[in-house]
Amino acid sequence: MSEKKEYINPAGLRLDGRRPQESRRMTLEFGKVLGCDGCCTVMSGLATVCASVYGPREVTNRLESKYNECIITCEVAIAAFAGEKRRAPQRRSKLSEEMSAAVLEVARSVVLLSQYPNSQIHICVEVLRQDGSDKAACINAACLALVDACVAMRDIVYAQTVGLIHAVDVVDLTTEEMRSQCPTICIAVKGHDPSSIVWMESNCRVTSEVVSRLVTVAQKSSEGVFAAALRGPLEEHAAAILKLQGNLGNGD
Amino acid sequence: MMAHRCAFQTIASPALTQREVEFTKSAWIAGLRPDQRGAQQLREVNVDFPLLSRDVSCVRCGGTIVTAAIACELVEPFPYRPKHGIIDFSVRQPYTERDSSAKTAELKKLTAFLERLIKGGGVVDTEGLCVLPGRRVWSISVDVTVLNDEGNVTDVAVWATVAVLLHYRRPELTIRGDSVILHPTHERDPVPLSIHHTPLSFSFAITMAPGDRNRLARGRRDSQEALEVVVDPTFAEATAASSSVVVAVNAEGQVCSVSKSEGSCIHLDEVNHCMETASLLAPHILSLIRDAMAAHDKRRQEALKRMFLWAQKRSGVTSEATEPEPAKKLKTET
Repeated sequence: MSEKKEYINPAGLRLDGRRPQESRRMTLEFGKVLGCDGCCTVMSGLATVCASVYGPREVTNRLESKYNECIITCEVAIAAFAGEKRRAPQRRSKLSEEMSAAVLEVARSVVLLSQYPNSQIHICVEVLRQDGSDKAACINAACLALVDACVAMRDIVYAQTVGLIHAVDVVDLTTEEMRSQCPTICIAVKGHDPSSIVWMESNCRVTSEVVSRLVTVAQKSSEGVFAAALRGPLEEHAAAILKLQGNLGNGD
Repeated sequence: MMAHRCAFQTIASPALTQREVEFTKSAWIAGLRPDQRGAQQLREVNVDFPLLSRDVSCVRCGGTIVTAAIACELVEPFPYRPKHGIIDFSVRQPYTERDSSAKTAELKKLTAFLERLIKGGGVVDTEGLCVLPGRRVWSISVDVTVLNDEGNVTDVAVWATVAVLLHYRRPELTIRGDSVILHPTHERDPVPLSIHHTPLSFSFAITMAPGDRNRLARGRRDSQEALEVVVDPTFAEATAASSSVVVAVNAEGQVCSVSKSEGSCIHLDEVNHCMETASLLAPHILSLIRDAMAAHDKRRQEALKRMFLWAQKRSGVTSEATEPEPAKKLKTET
């Protein structure tokens, strides 16, 4: 960790003016991509991720189909202009494969696979702009796209990254804070029951008490963010879908 | 027994797998494990260095056998990191015709886990592998081969990798200006790698989802508790488990990695329980690795001594002539 940089000033504010337990402003947009069954664009601060869901549909590779459950495939593409430096426009890189594996694990945990035997759900995630916590943003976008596609799920999933900078618990890290190489945990919890951990990953060397404290901080922050930023747009979107179905019903 | 076990696994039909899952779950509800281990008990772990050279380690845990081989080479560094060495991992497994395409994804996931844990965790001092900045650095490649898979390949692969990194010695260098002299092992003793800490991973199987456990506890009256978290799951237990957690700890008790992959949800107390159990088990595995290293060093010394004696006996004619003389003297004296 770089000791020269002051990530939290004496007034208790971070580099972008947030308090340590405060998440960035998150906005959702549904239905912006045509030709797919579900899509969602998540903007969390400066990070922008667009996810599309195709399916449940027939399995493209017959050898991989399962008779009793659905298979989920995921493809994460990071745009060449997403980061600070322009990167080579290759579809597969180590980072995108790691993100794809994480999104796949969360989706397989949350989707009721037995409801769609012999089927395939394909998730395409496009990272349009990176600003730290990219894996968490991809997980959020993919799960919200699955909601938009009306796939049977156990619960909404909210993922975020928590870190420990100068012995202060920090929530929803940005690129500058990620660059400090501080201990971080990326965790996904259920929206309605934050004590249930859907997926978590940590690659830092800390004591177990610090891990417990960071998980507790993440769960509290998830509860607040879900109530403030996710519940309202989801309810509005559901009401719009029901109204549309009502109109179609009236037409018949 | 081993062949039967492997044959059973490879040709298992869905019905047999379902029966095995049901048997495992009923054993867990009764507070037992199918192979009569305790909840926090590993299978028999054996760490070995099969060759006389220091670059191959073999770890077996019950029926799971993983071999790790290491090699190093002087290469040109990446342009964006001119002062850091390179560490590469590759995991492979001999395929059978019954293996599904998901096996490749599992090996990729294991490779990514090893990279995150050892390269990302700063186990090896990559700055110490720099010879000439921007021109010559050491490149270390670790090849992990899964010889037999009866569950818990992740842990055994990590133990084998850590053992081979601890035991390996790279050649000594002499740097004069821009010239680098690489000394063979008979000129100068090779030097060990600079290891900061030794993470050892432990896999845990969560037997039931919390909702199922509450429902079961409400239905039962006897005080016998069902198993909740079991360590070192076998193939059958991994299939029957609702989710899995992998915890990596080092010798100082610090948690290096926590991963909860797909499956049902878990709670924080289960994660804490996994971390405590891993902290208890890590010193045991580390002592096994240290003992195997000491035994291998002793075996190397004995092999070198035997080789030296053989060479001495072969080349020295005088030694053969001098040997019978004391015997003759003794005979004449008697």
